[in-house]
Amino acid sequence: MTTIPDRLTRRGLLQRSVCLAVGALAPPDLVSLAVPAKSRVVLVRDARVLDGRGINGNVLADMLDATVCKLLGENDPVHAWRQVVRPHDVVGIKSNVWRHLPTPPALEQAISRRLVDAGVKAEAVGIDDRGVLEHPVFARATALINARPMRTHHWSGLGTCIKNYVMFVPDPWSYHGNACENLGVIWRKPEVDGKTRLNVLVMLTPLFHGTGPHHFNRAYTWPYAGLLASRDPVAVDTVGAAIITARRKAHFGEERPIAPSPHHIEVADRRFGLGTSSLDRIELVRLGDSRDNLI
Amino acid sequence: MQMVRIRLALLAVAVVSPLSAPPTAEGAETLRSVARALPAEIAGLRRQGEDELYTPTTIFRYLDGGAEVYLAYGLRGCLARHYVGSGTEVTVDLFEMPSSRDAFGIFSHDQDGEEMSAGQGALLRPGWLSFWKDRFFVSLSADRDDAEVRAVLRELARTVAAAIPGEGLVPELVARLPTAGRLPRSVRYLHDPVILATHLDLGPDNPLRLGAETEAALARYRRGGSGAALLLVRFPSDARAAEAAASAWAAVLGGAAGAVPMREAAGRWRGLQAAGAMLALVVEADDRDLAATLLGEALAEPAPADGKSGVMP
Repeated sequence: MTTIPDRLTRRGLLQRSVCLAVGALAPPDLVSLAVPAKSRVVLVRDARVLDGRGINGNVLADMLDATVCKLLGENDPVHAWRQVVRPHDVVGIKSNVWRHLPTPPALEQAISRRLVDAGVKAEAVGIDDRGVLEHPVFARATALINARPMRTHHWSGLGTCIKNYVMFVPDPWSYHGNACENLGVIWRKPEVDGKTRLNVLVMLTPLFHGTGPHHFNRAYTWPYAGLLASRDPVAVDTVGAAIITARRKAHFGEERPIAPSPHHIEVADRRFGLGTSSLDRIELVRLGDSRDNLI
Repeated sequence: MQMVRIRLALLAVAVVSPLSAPPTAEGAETLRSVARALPAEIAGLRRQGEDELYTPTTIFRYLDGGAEVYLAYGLRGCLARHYVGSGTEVTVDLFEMPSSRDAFGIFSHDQDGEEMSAGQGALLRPGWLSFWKDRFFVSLSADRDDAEVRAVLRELARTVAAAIPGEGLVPELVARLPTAGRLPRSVRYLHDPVILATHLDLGPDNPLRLGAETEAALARYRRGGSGAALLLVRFPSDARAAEAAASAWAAVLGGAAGAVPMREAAGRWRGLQAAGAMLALVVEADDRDLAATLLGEALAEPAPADGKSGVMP
């Protein structure tokens, strides 16, 4: 963040946002998992979101608006969210409560606010992680918003948007085989299938290396100050994984592959058809700070 | 929701960890007796709160996402203590395992860091020190990393190690691994196929039929400019070893039984050999002779070893 024009402000972003044609995106109640030939992923970064005391919720809300507007080719965030949900939708926001690096509550609230702005009834919005199978809103959800931070993970290599749905099954441990390669199958279960309207991968302070029983040390996070968003869960995870891989190389001074391999991302593409895991087939749109983007 | 989580944890233990014994009063007392020997204040830090005691069924509440590693080695219990002071918080996690072999195994799982003297082997990384002694694996996690904190971790590690009275044996299987050309800190000891997959990718579906009753030792080698990885597995019976060999021939060596070693797709060599209850597998070998030599050496009768070595092989 070196120059004023590079700074993200709600107004500035909205003024500068380009209304991109995304005709491949049908109305949300028809599309869900269907993705265009080239998946769009929006990366927004703003160093001000980490203000020294924690996460600045206002800046984070602006970042969310910027990503969703850019993703859907709208100037007005409410119009953009109206592409994501319909007023009759019942929406579950699938967050992540991992205590060392949870989905920021400010992001959960910003998503919730925009859903209501878009016409969804407040009582038809639920936020949960571990309790989604018992949550009354999730039980009748017609739409899901998937939001979680990216981090390395003991069993799956990376904690990804794909992996975030593991709590939709009663036996998450049964998906641990071969580095959780079959996580994608969960996305085809009735509780989830066809409902995901947006995936937000939180890259504010990603964890790029895990050590110890708690798999967390601040020394292995860095202030990337980013958000990634896409309709396509595989594409957003692919971009996130590339950033983590680049950060590991920069930190360790050598290639240090993520272990175990997060191949559940590629498997979600190849075996389950959830999206694209090829950077060649991803349209990455960058907003905000460009320094040390790592991709 | 709490009830559901507890139910999930119980099921998880049943599925993931056949080694895990139910928590016993005796097991908890062992951990508490070690904890009683720890000071309330050390290196400018003061103990905060009560010690937390976790069993194989409650460890999921504490190690969110990482408990399975410890369960895969048969965790008996975990005692956590927090120290705070000078803007630092240090968490001492004391894991009691079924045997010193398993404490060694957990320690071998992550071999990054600077070697230091504590217990029977210790490593220091940014904000984390781990060591093993007897059947205990000990983790000291700090919330920051600088010279002052590293000094605190070193002092705390030596204090905790002194509170553990006994010493344990390095797994005998590890002593069977050839030593010539073995890369430093490349040895891993394990039971579980998911743990193996974090160190060596042999493909899906557990081709070596690893499980709680099997022991596996892995090491990497470099001899004369050529590298290779050797996995030595001991099964509870000859029949189980033969069954695993048949599975591995099909899944890892493409069904080329008898062709030892054979070329990998990447142009390197791999080979498999079984003898009684033992099975040796070499993969990623840069040349055929190295693969064949390592297979032979791995299944040869081992020389008597000093099983009490305090240094990571």
